[in-house]
Amino acid sequence: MDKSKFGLITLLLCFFGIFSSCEEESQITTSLITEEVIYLSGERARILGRIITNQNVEASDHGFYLSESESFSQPIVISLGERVAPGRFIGETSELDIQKKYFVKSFISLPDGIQFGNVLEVTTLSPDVDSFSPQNGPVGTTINIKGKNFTSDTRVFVGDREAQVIRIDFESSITAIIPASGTVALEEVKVVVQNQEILFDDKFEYTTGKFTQLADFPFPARISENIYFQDNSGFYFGLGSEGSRFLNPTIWKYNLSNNQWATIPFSGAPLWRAFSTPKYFGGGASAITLVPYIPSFDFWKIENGNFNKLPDLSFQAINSISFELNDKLYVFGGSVGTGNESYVYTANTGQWRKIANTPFPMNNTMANFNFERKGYVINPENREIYLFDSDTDTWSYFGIFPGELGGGSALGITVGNKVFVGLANRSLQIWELNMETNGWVKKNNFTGSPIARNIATFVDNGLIYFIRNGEMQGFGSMEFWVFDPQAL
Amino acid sequence: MLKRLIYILLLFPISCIEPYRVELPEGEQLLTVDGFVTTEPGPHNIRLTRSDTYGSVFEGLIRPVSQASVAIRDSEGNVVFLTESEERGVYQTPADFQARVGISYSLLIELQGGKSYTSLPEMVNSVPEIEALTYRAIEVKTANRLQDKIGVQIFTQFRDPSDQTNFYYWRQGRGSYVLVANPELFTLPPDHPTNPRGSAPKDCCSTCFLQEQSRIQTFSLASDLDFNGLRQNIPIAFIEDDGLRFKSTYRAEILQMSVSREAHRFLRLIEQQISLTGSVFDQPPANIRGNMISLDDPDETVLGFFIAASVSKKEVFIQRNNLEFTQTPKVIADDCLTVRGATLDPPAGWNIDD
Repeated sequence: MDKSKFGLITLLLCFFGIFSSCEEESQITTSLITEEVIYLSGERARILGRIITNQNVEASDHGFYLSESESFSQPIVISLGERVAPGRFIGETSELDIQKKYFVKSFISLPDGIQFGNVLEVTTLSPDVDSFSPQNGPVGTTINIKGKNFTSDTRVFVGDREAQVIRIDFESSITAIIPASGTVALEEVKVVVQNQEILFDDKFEYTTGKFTQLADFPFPARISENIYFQDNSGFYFGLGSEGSRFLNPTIWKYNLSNNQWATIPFSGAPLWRAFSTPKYFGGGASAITLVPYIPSFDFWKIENGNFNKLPDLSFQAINSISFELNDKLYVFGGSVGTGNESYVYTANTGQWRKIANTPFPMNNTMANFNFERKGYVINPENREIYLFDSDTDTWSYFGIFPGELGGGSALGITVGNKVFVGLANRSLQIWELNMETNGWVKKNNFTGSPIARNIATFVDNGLIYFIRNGEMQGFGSMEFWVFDPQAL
Repeated sequence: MLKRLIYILLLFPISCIEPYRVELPEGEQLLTVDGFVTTEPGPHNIRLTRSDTYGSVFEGLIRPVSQASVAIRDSEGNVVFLTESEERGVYQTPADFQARVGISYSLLIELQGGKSYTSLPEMVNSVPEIEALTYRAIEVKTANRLQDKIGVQIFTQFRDPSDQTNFYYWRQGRGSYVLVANPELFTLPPDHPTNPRGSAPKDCCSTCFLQEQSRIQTFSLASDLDFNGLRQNIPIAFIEDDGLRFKSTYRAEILQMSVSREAHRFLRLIEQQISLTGSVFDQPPANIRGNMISLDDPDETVLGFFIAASVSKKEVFIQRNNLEFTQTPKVIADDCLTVRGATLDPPAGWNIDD
């Protein structure tokens, strides 16, 4: 070969070697990570995944697989659709069963096949209940149940009746409507979550209390500011005023054996705004005049339906509150003086004694009741209840009355270990106080007219009887009602 | 003549000053979450705000995010709802809420517009008790060569548990101190009609108590990668002597918290960012992603971090006579009650003998 050509070929080969290069196709990998289960409850899981790559992907679908088996047979597929950009993605499902183990992995469908991320293992949580409130109320009450991991198909039962579930918030708070009542007031509350029953320790108490109007008072009278008391044979009420204009000299008796009203003899003078207890009555005024009052000092003892006059009172007691406690008669406040004066009468000695003043001015339009050896008065200004302890003759704060006191004249009466307060003028409410727990429970509202005042209250066989007189400017006669506190 | 006048006028230098305005792109109003729950009784605060553009001049305003539904859910499914406090954008847990060790917590947020956010679950790990807090006076160099910073450095002593990886976060609680004044040095004001600047000593009061909460929270961090299982004595707080704090007794409250690895990383990055000095050796400024995620758009940037931590809390009473040196004391030549916030009654739990 010509040496000059050899040199040229060598030179060309060198140029080829210098100016030519190989093109190597770089392999770009896409990593898929099942990062974390960021939310897990009884039926719901929220999972975080991430696509890590340095270029866009052309995924026709991405999301997560969940399955009870590690081989992912019959998986729940969370499909999030097409995806171009790398980054985080979140998938959510609410089709899980409570307290069950699941395996989770992310997936991405690329042109060259489906790619899976790492597998996580989770166990769904178990539901539980914490509390419900309110724990009592009438049919239709909205209750709120606190707990955790409630599923969307959670059902609530009160007794054997299903409550209407209004909504479930954050899987931890159920709002439901109390269904119709059954035959008992106290009912178990049950929450059913995916066929798992959870029973509350506490029971729901339906609001009870049934009012029945009895035959009207048969005499054409509108009595007010009267006395009343009862014994084993019947209920008594009378004196006071007729139509707020005339003194009423009569006392009537409701005979429990024949359910009939009758007039009973009373030889004393009429008393207006007198005090009365089961064994005593007296004081008040002897005429219907306000300024000044013409006080009466008459004092009577009731024995087997007969009235024995005792020595006159030494003080005025008009519109006073009275209690019989510890075999003693207590008379508090009234419409004369400061309204704070207090007296005690001891039957054994027949002596009256002045004791410490009441904590606030009192009169008998204020709701009051007695239980065991204590008397209770509710201050209408602030609904504070003060109790008087007859063992020490002292007053102390007891609590707050939660209900309405309306225009006064609320009844207060004790039945067993329960006290009932309410039916004040212009109010339909009546409340029950459990003297063992000091808890108040509202009873069913009064079904009669609120435009009236209670003038007499009695108890017999667990039932509360009361006589109401319509407001004087209104029409109608006196009404006689019975209230069964426990009836549904 | 006119030509000459023109030449003379040209001799005067004439120029306009055009202010340079930094044109910044409009910043996104990012949801910012700031708050933590601890094993201490509540209420615990979660603050929600919106970030805004920060430029050479006033651009935007950091606004509170109000009327959001905020709840905290634990890994057992228990949910507590937070209520917005009187301060807008601050949501409080019930007072009886406290985190439990071994349980993880997630923050759930639903904004008024319907957008939902959640935090990644934060596990509460146990924290070793602070065995003792000690202190010493130190002098810190500053840019001003003539005025070094004097203060008290507080050390925590604890034994790091060897069976777990721990990430520590220390904060200062509310500090309180005896405020010493000199009412006997009180002088009348210079405009006093009869005796300007005249001496008028007051009988009361030379000693009060003052509580303070620094607006800027300083914190310290550590991980036990270097000291796993060993007893430690670590400096965790510095309280600057302003001439008043250490005239008598200062009570410092230290919170030692155990946080998650992710929270520690976040706080470490925050620490780096707030210690930027503008030098070429600084870390580049950056948005630090926290643990909050938008459920509607997982790639949305949400700032801040929801921390759940266990806490060991201890107080130390710093006595002046135990300090080797202090700042030159400031003199309050008046009744100490004239200082805003000062009271004659010691703050709750003030018992130097403890």
